[in-house]
Amino acid sequence: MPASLETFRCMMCGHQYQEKVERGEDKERSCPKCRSSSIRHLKKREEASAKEPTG
Amino acid sequence: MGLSSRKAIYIPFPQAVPCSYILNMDDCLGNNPIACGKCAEVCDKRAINYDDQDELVTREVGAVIVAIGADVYDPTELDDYGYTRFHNVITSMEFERLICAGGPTAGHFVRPSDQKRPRRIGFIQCVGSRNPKIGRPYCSNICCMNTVKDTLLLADHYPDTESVVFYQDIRAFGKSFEDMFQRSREAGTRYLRGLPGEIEEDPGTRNLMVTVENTTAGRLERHELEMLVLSVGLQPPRDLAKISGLLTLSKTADGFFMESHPKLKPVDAPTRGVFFAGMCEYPKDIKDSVCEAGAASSRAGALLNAAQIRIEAITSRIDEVACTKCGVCVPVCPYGAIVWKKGQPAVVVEAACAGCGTCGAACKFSAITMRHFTDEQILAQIRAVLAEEPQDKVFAFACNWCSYAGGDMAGISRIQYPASNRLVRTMCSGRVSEEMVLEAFRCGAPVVLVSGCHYADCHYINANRQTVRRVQHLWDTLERNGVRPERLQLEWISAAEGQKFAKVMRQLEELRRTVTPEEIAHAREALKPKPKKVPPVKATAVAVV
Repeated sequence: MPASLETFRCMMCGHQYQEKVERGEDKERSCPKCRSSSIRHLKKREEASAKEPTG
Repeated sequence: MGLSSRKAIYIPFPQAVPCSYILNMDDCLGNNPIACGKCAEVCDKRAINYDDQDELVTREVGAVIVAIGADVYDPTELDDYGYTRFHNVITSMEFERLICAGGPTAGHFVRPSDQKRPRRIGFIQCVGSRNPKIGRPYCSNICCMNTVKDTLLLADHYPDTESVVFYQDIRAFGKSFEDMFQRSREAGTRYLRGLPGEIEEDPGTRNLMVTVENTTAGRLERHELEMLVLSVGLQPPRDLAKISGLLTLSKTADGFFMESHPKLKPVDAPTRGVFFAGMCEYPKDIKDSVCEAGAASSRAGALLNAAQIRIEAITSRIDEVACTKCGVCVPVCPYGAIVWKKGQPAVVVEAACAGCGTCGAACKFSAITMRHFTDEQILAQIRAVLAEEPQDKVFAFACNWCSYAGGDMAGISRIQYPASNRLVRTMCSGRVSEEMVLEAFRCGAPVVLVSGCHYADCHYINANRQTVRRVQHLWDTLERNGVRPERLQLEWISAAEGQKFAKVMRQLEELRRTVTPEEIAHAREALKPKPKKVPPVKATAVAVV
């Protein structure tokens, strides 16, 4: 099954992490740090802007 | 299985029900004109009809029982344990045929390479099961006891045979299963915890050299075996996708059919009038399959014999005039209850609609009315809740079955949590449209929570997956409009998770305190609905007579 490494951000604690995503998978995600289900799947563009230094 | 040849007319296997012959037309010498015809000559019942053809039979039925079984895992593709390279590595199904009195060797257990009886036999468990790497993380349930039975058969037929079973766990959970397992051990079978890492074949003797880590003793062992039996697991049947499409059935992550509720409706499909029996739902043994078949036929009988069928009044209705015939509502319905043809307004089959309201949330043109949970009713609740001092409130949408019940559980368990939350109940989190969330922000909500059932618990098959898609889109929308996306939260809270409900409410209260009045005011303005572009009205000439 084809899989890609995708970036996620927890909207509760702000923890950002990467996880393998298989095409067509049906998986409940939770933050590995705080167990919240508020997990935002970052698209490539958002991922890049999140890495940019601020201030 | 390719262990022996058979004639063009045969009984599939000795215990087949009905015990009748099958004529394989691919192997028959020909029927037009008849080249052989010997089977027809000897059949005094005149049951052989060479001209018989496949035909489609249409029947009108009130209930369907799906009992399509499962397929046995094929170790050929991944060449598990050298199955395709070594003659004396066979599957448990091939073992059954070799030791069966009606099998190709008339029950004389011999190894394929030299037709001699093996004295040292190994069994490897969990081949094609409990292995996430090959997409089969589930236990096939039957393999452990099948191997235990095979070792007892060997001990009974050939007492001088040595059997070794390589296993991860022996799951002897059924009635008398533990007793059977102990009998196998007492009969001399060695159970070794650990799966082989390497298998080599001795080219001279064709014996198999198995290297395995004995995880109980913590040492590496090497065994010379004359034959290896792979205890192959089960996998979803090949026709499952086809049946799934025909009956709008859902699948679990394992690929088997998903039941309506794992505890309360274990043989019901989420689609009304469809029931499951046997392995198509998950791997199970004969006893469980028989129990399920009885339950499924009882459920179907109750449905067919009911004078009237009662359905909940909470169903969707489509306004034919307002419907733009776009068909967006069709794929989001987990029950396939919406009928639509291109160019025609969609229609809800109310007997099939379970009332999740996902279609109503997906329709951008307010053409779908969810009875008892209409857009107007929910928007009115949002406005009423946030009419006074919205900055002090955490606004939450909670699904009827899980999150709302989770809140109840927190309450009756006397768990303390901040009193700032205000809940609006919907039947499913899939009912919450983007417009409803945006309206809550427009009304001044500092924080909005959308909460529903965990994936496995969704009472509407998979309607909460639409919730995830909408919330993902909303986070983008909020960010685009300069609103902190963290102000919108998504949580799965089950009816038993009162503690989690309280924890989430405490976290959201902390989050609420970080939202400034300026942020709230900005969101009110930034999320105001954009005026729709009205197409210019063409000037028409009026003739005055």
